[in-house]
Amino acid sequence: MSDEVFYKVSYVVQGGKHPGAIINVETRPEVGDEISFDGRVFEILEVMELMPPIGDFGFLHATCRYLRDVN
Amino acid sequence: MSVPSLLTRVQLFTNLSEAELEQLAAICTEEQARPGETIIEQNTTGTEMYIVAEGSVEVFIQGLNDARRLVLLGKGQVIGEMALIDQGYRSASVRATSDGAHLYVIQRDNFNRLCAENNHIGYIVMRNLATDIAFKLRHRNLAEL
Repeated sequence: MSDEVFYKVSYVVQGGKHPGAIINVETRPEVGDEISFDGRVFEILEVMELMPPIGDFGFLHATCRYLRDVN
Repeated sequence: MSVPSLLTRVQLFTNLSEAELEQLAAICTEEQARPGETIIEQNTTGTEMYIVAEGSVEVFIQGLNDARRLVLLGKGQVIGEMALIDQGYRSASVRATSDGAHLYVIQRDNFNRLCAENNHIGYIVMRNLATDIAFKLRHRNLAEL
């Protein structure tokens, strides 16, 4: 097992029009952070633990809202 | 970064030793999917599981009249994993997003052979696979609220 911690994050977008994303990140997401996927930038509104950690991995859920397209 | 180092960043392989990651790396091949390229086609058979090493893919279901996107999967995520378990038809289609995707590919026969030779790898990976499927189900439930 390495010393690093990774996070598997379920991103759900408010409004239900976007299917959301599951992405591994190396820094725990925080409320107010911006995250980009699918050519769009989203703001994180809420973060919660979805499942207890296993090994090097934490399992998180983040609710976010659309801010803008990437460029 | 070597393949075993990259595999430490894949949840499917968490709790495996470095030596076991080396064995897994030995059965991984690499593929590059161009932007928009279909990687898995719904209702076809397949014997491969893929791991997204870079880029992202979108999973969608093709209905009679339209396609519905289910989720976007980024770095470290696993696709096609059910082919390793149930040998059934692919339940959804998967294509690379506009970023394209760099993928690791594991063939079912090679994986089964490795698990038969090293039961610890088989136990850990199957447990992690169950966790991955549970995580995807929880994501889906929350996305549908």
